Amino acid sequence: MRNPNKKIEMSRRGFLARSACASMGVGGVVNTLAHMRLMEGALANTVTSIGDYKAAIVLFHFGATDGNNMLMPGSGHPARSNYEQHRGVLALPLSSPGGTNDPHAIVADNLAADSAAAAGAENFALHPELGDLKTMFDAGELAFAANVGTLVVPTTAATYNSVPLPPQLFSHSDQQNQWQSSIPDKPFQSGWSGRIADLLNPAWNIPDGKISMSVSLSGINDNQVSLLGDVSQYSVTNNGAISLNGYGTNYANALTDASNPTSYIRNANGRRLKAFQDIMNYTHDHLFEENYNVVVRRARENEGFIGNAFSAANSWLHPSAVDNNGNPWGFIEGTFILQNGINPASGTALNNLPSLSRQLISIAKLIAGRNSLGNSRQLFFCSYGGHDTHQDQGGFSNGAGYVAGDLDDNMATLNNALKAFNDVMKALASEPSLGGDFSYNDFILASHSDFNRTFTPNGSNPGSSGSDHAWGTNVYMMGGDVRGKNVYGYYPDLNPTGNWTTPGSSRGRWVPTSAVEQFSAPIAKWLGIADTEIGTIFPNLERFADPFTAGYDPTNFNSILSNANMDWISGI
Amino acid sequence: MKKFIFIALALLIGVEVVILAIRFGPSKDEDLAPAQASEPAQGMDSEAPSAGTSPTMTPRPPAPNLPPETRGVIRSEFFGVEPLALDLNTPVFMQQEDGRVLKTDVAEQLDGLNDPEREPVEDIQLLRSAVASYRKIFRENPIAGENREVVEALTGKNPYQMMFIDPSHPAINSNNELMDRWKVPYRFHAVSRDQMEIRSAGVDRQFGTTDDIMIEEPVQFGNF
Repeated sequence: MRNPNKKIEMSRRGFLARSACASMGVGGVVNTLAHMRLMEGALANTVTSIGDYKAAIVLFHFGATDGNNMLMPGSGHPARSNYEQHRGVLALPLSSPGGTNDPHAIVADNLAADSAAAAGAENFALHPELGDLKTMFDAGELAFAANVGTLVVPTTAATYNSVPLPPQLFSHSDQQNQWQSSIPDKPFQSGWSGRIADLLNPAWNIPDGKISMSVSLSGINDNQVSLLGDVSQYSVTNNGAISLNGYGTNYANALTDASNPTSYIRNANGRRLKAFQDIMNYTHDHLFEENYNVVVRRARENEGFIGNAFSAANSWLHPSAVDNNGNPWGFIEGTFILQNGINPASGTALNNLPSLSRQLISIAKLIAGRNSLGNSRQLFFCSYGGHDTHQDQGGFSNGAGYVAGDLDDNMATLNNALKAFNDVMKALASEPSLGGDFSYNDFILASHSDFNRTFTPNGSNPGSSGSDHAWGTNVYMMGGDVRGKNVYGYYPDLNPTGNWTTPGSSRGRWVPTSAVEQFSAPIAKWLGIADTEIGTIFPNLERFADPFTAGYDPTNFNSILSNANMDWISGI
Repeated sequence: MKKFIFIALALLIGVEVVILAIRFGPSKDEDLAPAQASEPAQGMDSEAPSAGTSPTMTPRPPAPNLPPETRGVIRSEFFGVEPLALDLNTPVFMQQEDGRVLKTDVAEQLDGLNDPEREPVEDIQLLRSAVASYRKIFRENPIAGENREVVEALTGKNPYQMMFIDPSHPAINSNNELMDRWKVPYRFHAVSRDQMEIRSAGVDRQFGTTDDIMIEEPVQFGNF
């Protein structure tokens, strides 16, 4: 055993190894990133406090959302006729008797202002359950990106059979993995968020400080896997940090004060916890033993930091949501409870919230309590499953009318979670008790999905039919710096046997017109990745059109491939 | 003495560079530059031994008379997945006139597909075995979002042009889909490169009802 306080630092040999490999050009992204990481590391010693806070949130729709009905062509859109003709029972009419399930019309300003766009191309509609997202879109707080997907090289229906394609198209886990890595043509090594963390952590976050830059509300994920292993994912549950088992909730059976890790109670549990922590404070020559202790020590420290952040957030009270004991809910939890239509006086109000809302509550608390966490750059990952609607998706027929299904439930859950989160972020920006330095522009939330679903349904019964696995899909982005009220990328013509779909299929599987890296690269740049380093985070990006060039020219596929129309974040 | 020290240093540096190159050098996949991606992989050149003259089989370009979609073969190579090298002198492979190769053991098993003397769940087991056989050879499931694409993969649209089921099998309909014994196309659900769920709509011919037939797969990936 060695000195408990000894820090493990990169050896001279390690430095030489990484630098030499990079300079000799024998390595790929690993060595380049390692080299840049060392450069950034030189700045790390200057970071002593947080400031210019920015948080990026990836919300993954596991199972593949039907993007065709999340964002659909509206009245007068050139693809509307194909939507109504080919979508079958999944086609949602723009107006129906009673009007209670009508999609919400939205107008994309960027397309309305662009003379190259076809007449009516700016007219879209959102799923009937996304009424609050329409409000956010209209307010410029939300945008969509159309037909994004995994690509190895720019691909069209015409080149589908002659260019390399992402491996295992249409397979859930492979496509989830490729969305998160953004390097579909290589065996998985790291996620794009993980690579951002590798590069930004030393320059923006307090050295050896507090919690990881990569926090997951959805367990271990691919997106935050670090390439260099420098930034570990830290999982937080809906209730906060994951505690050691056997000491009661918040260590109530072992500590007199959960925020003080040495306030041991004089009982068996207190002595056991003290003994355990003492053992964990030793260091070892054996690397496995040492790393085991490091992980446990870091987890215990993180618990305290997370607890402090949550405590700070919980001190911000909701003015009208009162719990079953007559006490006001915290502002964040109260906002989500009310938005989800749950009685705040119910004893199970919090537990009745959908998982997505619970996850976003935790993220909101960590943002609100950011001053306890030591990070100026924070990455969050959360997820929302249950989108694999092969059946019971929900649809419409003239005979049966509107038959609600799983997609309706999912969209309602999404609508409430995003609305409440957005409300909290706006309120936080004007809440002086939590630092007063947070701006609505300091967060961005972007969605991912395995893939889109087939445009044509797999049945004719509106109550039982669904859709199957497809490819390019529609995603959304939210936040103050998002150039909202716009639709980016290129919306397909929705002809299931036309020029936008995979050859040989008549199901409508849109070939993506924007790659995942074109969609995600603006986030990296917004967080502080320099232009010269973007290619290290997204090594395949150079194969595609520059996402940071604004513009729209949908007249032919060649122009689409040279003009990404993906400059969706302002100020970068 | 100075000369000796210089030579020793040079040797030491040389050894270290070699060690570093081995330890931190690129993986095999990193060596694959983008420009190489669209080119045939090694082992696919025209000099590859023909099936009839060589005891081993390596991936080869598709026959000219096959549809252009067959060029999808490069997908696997790009990802670095090499099909299994096969010994064609074993009786399980039967060369066809059109260049395809029938994997007779799997095809013979599938002759019993939809046999009314068997239990319906056995049909699913037979199809699972066929997909597993494909996966064993090509190291991944058929790349398929639709029933038709599974059938294409199992009837020769693959790097070896290998057939695992006779294309004229009565369970394959005119849309090139595999049907269950109630004439409803099976639903193939691509969970991962290793896992393909196969579902029959059952007697009522409606998916999503209690009489659907499928075999619960061991949970590998639960995010959908």
